[in-house]
Amino acid sequence: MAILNDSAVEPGTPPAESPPPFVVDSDGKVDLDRWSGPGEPPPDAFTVLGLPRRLLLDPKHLDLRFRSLIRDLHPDRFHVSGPDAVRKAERHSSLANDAYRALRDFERRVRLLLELEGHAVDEKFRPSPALLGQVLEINEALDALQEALADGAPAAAAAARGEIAATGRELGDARQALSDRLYDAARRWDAAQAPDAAADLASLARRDLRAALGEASYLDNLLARVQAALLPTQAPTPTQS
Amino acid sequence: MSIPIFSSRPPEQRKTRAVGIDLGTTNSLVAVVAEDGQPKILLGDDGQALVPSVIGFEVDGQLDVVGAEADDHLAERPDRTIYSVKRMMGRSADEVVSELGMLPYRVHRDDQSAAVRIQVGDRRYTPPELSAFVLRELKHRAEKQLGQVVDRAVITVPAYFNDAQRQATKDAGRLAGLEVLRIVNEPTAAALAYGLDRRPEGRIAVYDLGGGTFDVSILHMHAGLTEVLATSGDTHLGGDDIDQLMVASVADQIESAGLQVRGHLDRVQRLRKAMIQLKIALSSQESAAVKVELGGPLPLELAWDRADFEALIAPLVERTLGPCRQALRDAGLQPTDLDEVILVGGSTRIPLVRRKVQELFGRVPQSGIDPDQVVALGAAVQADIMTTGRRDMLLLDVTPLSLGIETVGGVVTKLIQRNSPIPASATDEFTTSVDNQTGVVLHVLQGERELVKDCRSLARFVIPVAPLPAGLPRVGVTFLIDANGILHVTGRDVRTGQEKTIEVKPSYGLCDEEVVRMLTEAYDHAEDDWAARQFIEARTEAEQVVAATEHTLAGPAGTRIDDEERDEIQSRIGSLRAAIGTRQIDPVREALSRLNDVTLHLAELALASTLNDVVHDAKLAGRIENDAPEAAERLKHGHHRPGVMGH
Repeated sequence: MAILNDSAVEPGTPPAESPPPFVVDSDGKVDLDRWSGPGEPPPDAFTVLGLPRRLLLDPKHLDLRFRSLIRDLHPDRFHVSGPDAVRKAERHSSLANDAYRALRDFERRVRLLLELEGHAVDEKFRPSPALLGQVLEINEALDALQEALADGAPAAAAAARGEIAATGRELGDARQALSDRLYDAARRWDAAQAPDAAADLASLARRDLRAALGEASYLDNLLARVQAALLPTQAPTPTQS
Repeated sequence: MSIPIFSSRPPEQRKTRAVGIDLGTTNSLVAVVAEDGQPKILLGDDGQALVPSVIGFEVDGQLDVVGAEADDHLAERPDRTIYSVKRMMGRSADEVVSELGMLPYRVHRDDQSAAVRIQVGDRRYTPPELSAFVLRELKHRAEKQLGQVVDRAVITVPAYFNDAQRQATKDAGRLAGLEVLRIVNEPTAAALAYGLDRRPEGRIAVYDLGGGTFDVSILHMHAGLTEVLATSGDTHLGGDDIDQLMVASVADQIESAGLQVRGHLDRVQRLRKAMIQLKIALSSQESAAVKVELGGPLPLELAWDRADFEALIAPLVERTLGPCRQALRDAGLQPTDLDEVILVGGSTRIPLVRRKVQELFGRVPQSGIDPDQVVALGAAVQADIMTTGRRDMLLLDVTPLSLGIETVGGVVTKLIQRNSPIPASATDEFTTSVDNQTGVVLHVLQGERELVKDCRSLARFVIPVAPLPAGLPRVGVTFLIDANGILHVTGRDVRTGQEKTIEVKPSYGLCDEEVVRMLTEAYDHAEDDWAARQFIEARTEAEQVVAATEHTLAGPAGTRIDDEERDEIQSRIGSLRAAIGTRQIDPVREALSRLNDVTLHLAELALASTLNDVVHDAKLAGRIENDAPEAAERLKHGHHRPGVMGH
């Protein structure tokens, strides 16, 4: 997956209209009865952490919000209060943990927000003819590699890997350009949330976000295959023995 | 100079204590946070910090000894001396079979559950029962050292342990009579111990190569918050593997010279011990030799260079580097982003390991705290955090493996991704595919692979639903991984709001009933009961006081008290004896204290007459004034008692 440089976002001041986190009541006290668990839909990540629905969050502000909340909510804090309090704290701290994880990653945050706004990203992405050409090249090289490995032909395998790597680099560049497009669209979406913003700006930005995200998933899958082919001796994920 | 001391120890504090336990593959330790807020390891009577995780049994399968003594019998009683139990915790017999090559004891597959059973004599033990023996030994050690009941513990596990392995460890704690406050990951515990004094700020990597497992964790520490960013590892890689490799290599040589080793349990064990000695020596020396008696005509002398050793183990050490890279990737960090690298586990004393770690992370790793002790110390800190509330410290850990459920086509749909901070939860809704179906079967798995067959089965369970046309019932299920990394499942009928009880039966673990049954059995052994042992200690003390008092009464000091005082003392001795007869600890304590009340004067007289002999030596008189003003004061006090001192 492409590494996005969230810290490149200018650290903004926390938005003035930040609501309190979900589990904090109006007196600023933690209320462990806010969410009853299964059956009751959990509040969304922005609500849990008390953040406005914006795409470009200051990561430092997000970290601070989360840390102060988890310090109050973690079940270890409630051990002395008995098992019932621990269970409730587990439930509520899991909300905070999950929300933090969902919002920490920029692209996940975009997906989540679009979903909350009722515009979930459909993954049916139609690649451009140029991209399709690259996919075909990679598929051929992957087949060649497999054949070469099966035949025990190291020279042919190395050649195939070379081709895969070359196309992989092109795809990596395309992925980086996509990230830039996503940031640009995210900025426009955030700006369109201002009360005086023109209504069609938001829908325009949303359309760009959805298109870019669909293409990003497509490229990520391709890049994962490229990576797996280039690291044959190293399992890409730890496996349980 | 012997001074009779009658008084008993200060009255015991009745409140119970919580300890930290490192339940290791090879060795285990127990630690506690002392009054000064610093964690310390509790030593045994032998002065040793480590308790070998070895359990010795009688021929009939009854428990004999645990720890160093059991370890000593490894060679003579290979079939009834059990070690490396940790590697079998929460695993299926089939998984364990792959390691059976060199294990000298009998491992069975339970027909019903496919779980591991270890047979000793006529008895079969589960891995949690065996671990409970080690935990109980640690509990006793702690109680003896602290003079208090120890009934709660934080127990550490490898970070890469799955749900079943964690649950098995928790079960072992319960079986040992301990409330398990928390299961904490070993590298995280180590970071806590390091974080106590120096309060490192920033990103650190903990490389933990223990007896049987390898873990690596990347953490972010700031202002008392220890946040795990990513963890990875291999639950089957450790010092044990190094030993096995060495034994196999030497066994080949010996066998080619005509002496059979494999199949001779005692020879394998002797060889294993010798290899461990050699391994340890080679960490500080360039070459080492060890003599081993294998029943051949002469003792064998095995000499190794460090280079031989390193060539042999290099592939094993290399295997630890993959998980390190993976953890860095998952944390989104480069080696240069790290502020510190910490070494944990006895195997990190091996120079090759240090070199490889240094190469990978590009910095000299730290091992300021004894790598064998640091995990237990950190566990004690966590126990202190959870029971005293006096520390502004918090541990935020992650789940090492993704959690998912089986969906159509034998594919795993991930619900909670690996390295999610815990507690973590996921909610999903399920329905039926056939009319009038009365339940939905869920199969929960843990692992990173896509297919069910490649992941670890945690549990299968049925969510009951009302018989309705297919697709109509709606059941909401919440999967919650708690702070221990253990899964809980709750369900609710979305239409009626009715809560569904879902019983999760772990795939290779013990169900709750089994744990309860084992607990009942454990309590049948009275000698294990804290109250019984407390009574025995109190009785011993009472008997010593009675003997000392009677001895003094018969001596010169006894002639200096009047009959009334003597009768009172003797009457109270009688009461104490009667109290001992009740076999109850409180009457004994009470009677002992009442006896001590009336023997103070007698004790002073005895002390005075003893000291008096000394004081007559003019040269020593000054020294007593200087060195023992209290004793000298009591001496004077004795002199001032009218009609007592006849000098």
